[in-house]
Amino acid sequence: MVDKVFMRKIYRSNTLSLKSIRSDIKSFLSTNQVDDVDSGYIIIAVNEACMNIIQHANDGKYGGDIIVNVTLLDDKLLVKITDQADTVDANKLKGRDITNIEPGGLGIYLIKDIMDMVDYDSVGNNQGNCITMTKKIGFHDEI
Amino acid sequence: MKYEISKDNGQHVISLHGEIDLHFSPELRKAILSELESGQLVLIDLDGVSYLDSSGVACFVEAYQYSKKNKREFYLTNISESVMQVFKLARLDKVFPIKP
Repeated sequence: MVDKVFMRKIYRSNTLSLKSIRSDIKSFLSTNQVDDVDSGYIIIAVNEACMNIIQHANDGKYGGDIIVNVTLLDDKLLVKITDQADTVDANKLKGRDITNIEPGGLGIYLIKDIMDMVDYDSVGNNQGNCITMTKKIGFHDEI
Repeated sequence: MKYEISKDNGQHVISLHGEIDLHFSPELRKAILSELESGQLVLIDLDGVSYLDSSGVACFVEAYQYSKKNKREFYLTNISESVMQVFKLARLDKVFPIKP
């Protein structure tokens, strides 16, 4: 395994950024010997978290930045994604019941299913939101 | 991401290529529903799809619901491993009508 490695990138909050975010995460994980299975799941979770910001922050009108921090220490991955949109009520961020077949509400469910720990928090006094996700890598059977 | 539509013998095939995410899924949703409205069998060929996010999955869920409600035929085919991974995570791999 690797020593502590870190990636920090800033993206504009629009749909065109999603491809770059996925590409950067994939490159970071590959460079640091995270296997394709874990990498594939982590890319899904990060994409969904960023997509939620683009889609829902300020009713989809947030055009600021999305800051993505990824830390890899031994077999533990920590992803912290921050925006500067209006603060959302973390209690309202619940994935839908997966047994209901509906077009929306799947993103949060996927994030929580893939990652070991997911935490939503506000930044300062209505200065943004932060999602923190952790995952132990190399344990594929747990999903 | 790009797509092509071919029509043959009452069957409309939408062939998708590239990555389906929120940037493209609104256009995809319109294309699929438009083809379903034609009343013909609609087959979505996912052979060229390397990535699918939840907004893309939502397009297929909506198409599935539309087809059931309006008695239309809708199938997915040539599903890659990465796309099936998302369907399985979403517990939809046994829900969508899939043609081998």
